[in-house]
Amino acid sequence: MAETDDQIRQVLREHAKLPVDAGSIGAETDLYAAGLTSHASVNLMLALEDAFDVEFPQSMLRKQTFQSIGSIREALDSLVRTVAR
Amino acid sequence: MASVADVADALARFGDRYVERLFTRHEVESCRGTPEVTATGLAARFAAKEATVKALGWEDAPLDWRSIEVRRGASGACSLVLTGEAAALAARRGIDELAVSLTHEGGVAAAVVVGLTERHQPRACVCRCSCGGHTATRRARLGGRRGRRADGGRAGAMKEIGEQVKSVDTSRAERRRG
Repeated sequence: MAETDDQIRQVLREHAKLPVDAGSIGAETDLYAAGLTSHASVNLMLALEDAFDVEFPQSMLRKQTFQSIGSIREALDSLVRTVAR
Repeated sequence: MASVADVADALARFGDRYVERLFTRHEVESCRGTPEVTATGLAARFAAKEATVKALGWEDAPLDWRSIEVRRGASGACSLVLTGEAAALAARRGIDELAVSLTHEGGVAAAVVVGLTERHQPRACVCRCSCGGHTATRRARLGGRRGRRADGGRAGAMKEIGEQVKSVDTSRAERRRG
């Protein structure tokens, strides 16, 4: 879990253009409140697809999916479980 | 608002995947040109999509950015075409028409979107002033502010406004007589 969170933080650092260091963001911190814009959330989604070798289906492209590191981890977990089946 | 540099970065990093997630074929065709022209045009279209999301009061339904299309007409003027969930949400909100304005300057693209509902459409003025036509909205607001819309409907508000106008006319006539 911590490893996944760190990977997500790395993607955030490179693509989310947050005004704060991604390393200081807690798992449940609201990323939109931390400065994540709609456009950056699209970049974040595409970068997560590259980093975790998954594809976000249309049904997951909602604001809540990218609300926090924890919600991104849950979405990635469910995608990885779906791929593994 | 959208930064043209951010869109250019995304195009360079993610290429077609970025374009296909956000923009329709028509939008891409409308923005063909130099890399700067393309990034600027797509940034303006993204700004319009984001403004539309806000105008529609989008909450947490899945968002397909391509369901909000900026359509450029032969004159160069742009309009919005909604499909899928965007169109369904507009219908639920009672929005019949969306007006869009795009602009870009200094590396930033911006858009303003206004949603119009049937009850906000300008209608022939019922009062006898020289305004050339108050809108139903203004009349409804006038009625609401004075707490006279007991039924919450436009018909009630219109009747009340008609009575207010009649009362003003009567006062004027009395003043003239006096």
